[in-house]
Amino acid sequence: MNAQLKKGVLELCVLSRISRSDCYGYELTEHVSKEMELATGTLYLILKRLRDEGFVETYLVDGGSGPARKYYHLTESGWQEYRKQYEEYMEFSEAVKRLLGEEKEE
Amino acid sequence: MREQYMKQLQEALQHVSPEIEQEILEDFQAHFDMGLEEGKTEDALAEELGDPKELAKQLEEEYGRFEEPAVRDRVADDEAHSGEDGTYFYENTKGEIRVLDLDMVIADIKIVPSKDGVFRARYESSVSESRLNKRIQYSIQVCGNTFVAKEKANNVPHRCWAHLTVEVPGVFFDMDVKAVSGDILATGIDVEKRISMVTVSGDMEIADFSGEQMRCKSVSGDIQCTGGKVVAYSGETVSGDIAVANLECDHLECKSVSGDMKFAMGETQGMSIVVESISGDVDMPCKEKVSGHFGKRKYRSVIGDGKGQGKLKTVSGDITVTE
Repeated sequence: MNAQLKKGVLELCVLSRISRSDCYGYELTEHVSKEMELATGTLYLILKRLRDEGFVETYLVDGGSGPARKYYHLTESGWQEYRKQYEEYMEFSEAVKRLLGEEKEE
Repeated sequence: MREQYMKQLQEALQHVSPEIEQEILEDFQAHFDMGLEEGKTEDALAEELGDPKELAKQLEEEYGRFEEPAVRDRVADDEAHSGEDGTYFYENTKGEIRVLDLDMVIADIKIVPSKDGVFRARYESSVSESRLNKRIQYSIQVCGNTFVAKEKANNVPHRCWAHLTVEVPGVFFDMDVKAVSGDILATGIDVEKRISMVTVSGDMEIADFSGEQMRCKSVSGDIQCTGGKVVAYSGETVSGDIAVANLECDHLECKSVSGDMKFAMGETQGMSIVVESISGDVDMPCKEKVSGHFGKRKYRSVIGDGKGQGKLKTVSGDITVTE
């Protein structure tokens, strides 16, 4: 799949998953890679970027017998960003559909 | 295979700043741990994570190359002086520093604007203790435009003290300030992006600030913010009190468990406020009850032109809002 297309939308997909419920890194990578083929390492880079921008926060949860897990949580500004990217994507994909539709009719 | 992959990754990350390198390595190690627990093989995990060189390249593109690895452990001699009396003084006249990253334990932190445009950071501690027992360690790093100061303190007796004073020139890009028991005092700070102040038990007092985002968090310390202008403000405590006055912002969110909250809206801002409280008192002008079922009461109020959006949540703290 076109790498450029993928890149633009990944952040939106990550924000969307975290908006539904807090989750840890591995959980998120499994969730996304189920639908899309990609290097899961890039998801950690996205998570880091989101964290630097203040859109997500992290907290550690004791793993019991296993290692502690770093959970990601969407902040208030993260919600704003998610909404913004979501709307932008919807507008964009509608526009593309229309353009493709028009061309077909011709 | 895992060890080999992580080594490759570490090597590929050598041109990235040490903080970023550590963060990424930790995340990837955790990914391996989790994947192995789920039954995946090391080879499969290494493959799914992706090419270390490619990842490093993306990081370099986004965060820039960390140019002089040698700078990691020392700062140019003409810019930093560490006095015999345990004072550490750093100065940057080139106007390069735009990001602040402070990580203190016992030091009280004071941040003020620099009157002459020079960035300065002065750290002092009650030396006799630290010298004898090496219980307090202070280190700084300058990576590109970021000034990082870290304090490590182990089992420090109460009579020990430390102060960090930072003078900030012009408009900064980002500030990330952490203290454990130290207090934070900041006035007149202008940031492009984000100010983040976090303490465990230290109090914080911040006046006349501006930026896109302001975030104040404490466990038991009190938070006092006056006269600020931001897009989003968030305050969070467990038992510390929050007092905010004359704040201009579009989004406000404050949470506490037992800490009280006081908001004086002032003339600058109108807000639509939603308050949720379990057992605390809520004193707000024109408050209208939204819901009040067992356990949680919710109130709404519109103050002024109601343009901003505020959300206040507490368990047992008392909330007071005045115009």
